[in-house]
Amino acid sequence: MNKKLQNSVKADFPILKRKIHGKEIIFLDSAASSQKPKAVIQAIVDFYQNHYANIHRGVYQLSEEATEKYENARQSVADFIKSKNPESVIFTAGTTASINFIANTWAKENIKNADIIATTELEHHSNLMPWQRLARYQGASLAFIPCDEIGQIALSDVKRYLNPKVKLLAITGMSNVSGAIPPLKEIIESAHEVGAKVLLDGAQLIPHCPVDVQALDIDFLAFSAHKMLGPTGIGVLYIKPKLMDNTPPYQLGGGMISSVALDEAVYADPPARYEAGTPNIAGAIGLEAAIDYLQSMGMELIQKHEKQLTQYAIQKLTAIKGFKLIGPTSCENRGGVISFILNTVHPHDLATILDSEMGICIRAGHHCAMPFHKKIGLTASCRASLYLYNQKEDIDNLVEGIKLAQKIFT
Amino acid sequence: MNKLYREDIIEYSKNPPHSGRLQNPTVTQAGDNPLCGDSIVLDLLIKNDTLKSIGFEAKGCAISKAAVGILSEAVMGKSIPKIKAMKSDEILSHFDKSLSPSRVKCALLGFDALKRAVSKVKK
Repeated sequence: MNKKLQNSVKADFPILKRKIHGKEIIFLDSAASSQKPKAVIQAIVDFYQNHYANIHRGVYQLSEEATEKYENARQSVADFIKSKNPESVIFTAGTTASINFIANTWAKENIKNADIIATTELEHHSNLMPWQRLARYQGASLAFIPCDEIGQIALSDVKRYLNPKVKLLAITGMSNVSGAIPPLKEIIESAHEVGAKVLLDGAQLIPHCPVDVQALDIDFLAFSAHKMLGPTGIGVLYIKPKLMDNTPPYQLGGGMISSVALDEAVYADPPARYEAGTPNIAGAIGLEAAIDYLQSMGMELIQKHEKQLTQYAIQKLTAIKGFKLIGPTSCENRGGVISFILNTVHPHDLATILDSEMGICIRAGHHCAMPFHKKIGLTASCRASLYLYNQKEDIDNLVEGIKLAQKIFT
Repeated sequence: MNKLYREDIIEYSKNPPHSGRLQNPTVTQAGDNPLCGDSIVLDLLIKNDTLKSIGFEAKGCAISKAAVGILSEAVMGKSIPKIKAMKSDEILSHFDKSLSPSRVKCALLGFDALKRAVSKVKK
């Protein structure tokens, strides 16, 4: 395991020094939300203590400083996802807000009666429900690309559902249940061949893998800061620049106009056009600090660390009697989201026992993916998810905790 | 030994008393916990304003199953007004204080369904 990630990282996260039930926290729920390094917390504190004012409003120095910091954050996000146009980066409240943004703007304008919105059986509710409602409003229909029993989407299945009536493919970049990463490049190419646009739910992918929006030719990308070491309440919507002419603003108000008369208004150019009202300025600055931190480690290195750890975890966990993995065993195309069930212990009971006996935080439930759980005949599963601050010891502790829970239920 | 998962609680969860649906219930009530997808269907047989029989089918965690077993034993033979007056503490007191707010919902899955069921019963 890489030395840089082994030695220093946990110490950078103040919360991981806290004890719960007398035990040091072992945090295995980063797919729900990640913890924050000191650098991110400090960046937010520094902004509020030393530079805070509203942006794009004042001509005084504080406002100029705040504006510069906010726009620098946009540039950092653009660099991070390899977009050459910083105006393609719109700050939103998070992945959910970004997906709803497109459902209420581009999709509302461009998806009409008899059109098809294609999505998959694997999606998080937030990449399903906006399309359900949009389809109802527009008289369009939904097509659900199937996934297999371990939560993988095959290119051949995607292709079967693509045809010229499909105007949008809304698909996850990495499943928040199975951890599987679909063959994105090929899927996006296939969608474009039939004239469909692609919205990628990057909530799980972006925090863990280097992504190049231009190389992948992504049309819309949604992700959240809080899953990538940043603060809550801030996220990103990337819109391919040439689609902006077809994307009306979502909300109207201050900060997004070039001129307003009583009976009409002229909108500002992007990105301001898409950011009505005072945005989450401190959130954007916190996100930039998170990106700086991730890049100081290196996304390739983080990905490699998580891959090795996932491999180790799957090997150790699948050796436990009564353990069933919900996801691919091969780490070729998957991230560190490890969902499972035990034959004798209900997910909620396991989560409670791991917490109270070992200080281990995991998720239990349907992880906002009820349709996929229903497909595989479950109402709930357990999910341990990894990030750069996790180590082999965390997995060893998880294994010990699972065995302890099994013993309680024998 | 884990405080919450005492042996008696585990025993109740594995074989909750009164488990199984009733043939001719007076009232049937479903309940679920959207947080985890756990669910229960509760049947009540009521005669002369008294609970003569109770049955259920529960899908869920050990806490919710043990709790509905404890609940069923507690309410058998009771009058409907008495059941209507029951407080949730009568169930929660069987569990260790370490039961967290999210798990309280598990423990009260059956209780909440019972409350809704008896509220449908006319005087």
